[in-house]
Amino acid sequence: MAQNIATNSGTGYPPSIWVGSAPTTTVKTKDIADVPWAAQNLLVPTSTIQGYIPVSIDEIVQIAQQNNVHPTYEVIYPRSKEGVFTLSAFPPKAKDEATIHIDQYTGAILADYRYEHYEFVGKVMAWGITIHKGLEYGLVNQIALLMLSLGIIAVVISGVVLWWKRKPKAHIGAPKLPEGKTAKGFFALMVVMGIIFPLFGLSIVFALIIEWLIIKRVDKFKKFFNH
Amino acid sequence: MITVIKKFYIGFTIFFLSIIIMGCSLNEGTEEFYRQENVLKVEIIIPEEIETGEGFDIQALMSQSDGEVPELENIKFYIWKDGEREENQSFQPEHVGNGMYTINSMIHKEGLYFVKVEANTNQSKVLPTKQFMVGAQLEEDMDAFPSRIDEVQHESHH
Repeated sequence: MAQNIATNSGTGYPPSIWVGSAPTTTVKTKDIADVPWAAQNLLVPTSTIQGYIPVSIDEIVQIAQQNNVHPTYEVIYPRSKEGVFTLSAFPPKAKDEATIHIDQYTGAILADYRYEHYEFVGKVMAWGITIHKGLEYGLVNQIALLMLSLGIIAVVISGVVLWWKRKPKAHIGAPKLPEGKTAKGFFALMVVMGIIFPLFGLSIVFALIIEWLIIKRVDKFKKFFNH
Repeated sequence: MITVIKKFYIGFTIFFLSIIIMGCSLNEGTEEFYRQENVLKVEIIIPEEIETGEGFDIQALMSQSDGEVPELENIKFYIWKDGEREENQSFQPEHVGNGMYTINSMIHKEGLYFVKVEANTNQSKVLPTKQFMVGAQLEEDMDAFPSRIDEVQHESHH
């Protein structure tokens, strides 16, 4: 969702890097040679033999080198007659990323997307991903993330401990919804976020179902959760 | 402060997971918002039937995705018989106008042949190969046909 919104509005990644399809060959389908090994022992008319054959992998590698693609690239082979070769590089640093589509018959570069061609949101996402993977700034990056995750573990454990220490005997100790106050704004925010980030939305729905089916209906739970 | 970081982290995780699980539809034509190539296109034109010992034209019609006639920096034709490629033997075609480049050729030995066109503008480069038959085709000829495999192996030798 978020990717589609960004790409559709022209502010994110160019299409085909995360979402959207790759371009297709520029040659006419009827001019493509039939795969000879499939028809090897059959009588084949000349007109079927005549046609374009795909460029070799050596040529693809050459094209990658000529265009300074980061050496960590992968070559994704065409999946159909009209498909393209795709060079895909997601190296440690976001600025070296590349997605390049090559016509499988003519060898022409149909699209060449580098980090500098991502729009603002796309750049931020790419940068966020390499930081998240601990690659963008090397060891410093990884140490910072280690501290962060240790911090989260500490928060989780200390949270449970502190709650346990202060918890009233009969129930969970959560405050009741204050009289006269509503959470409409917050609720709306959750709905919007839940649509933009479907997994987040799903977990909210799941929590609501649990509350509605179990907590509200079983007295013991109701009391425990201070409803 | 810590809860702020935690909130950020949870938000980020959800965001990151959603990037991974998403794959739904995209509007048509979004590529227009982003960088686009001026792609060089080529159509190799060979007569459908070629007899041995008779002259014929091999043509390459060059065009460009912006609709202009491309200004080529370079164009070369390579022609070889299946399994008998000689490197560096190229032909310079004649520009007959409107992006049409042509050479006249004559082949004396029947069999499977290849023509490769290498051409480039200052923005785009193409190197297509087209296969074609010369002379009458009999069923026996077809048995000797793993031409593409030959070609691939051949390519990797140099």
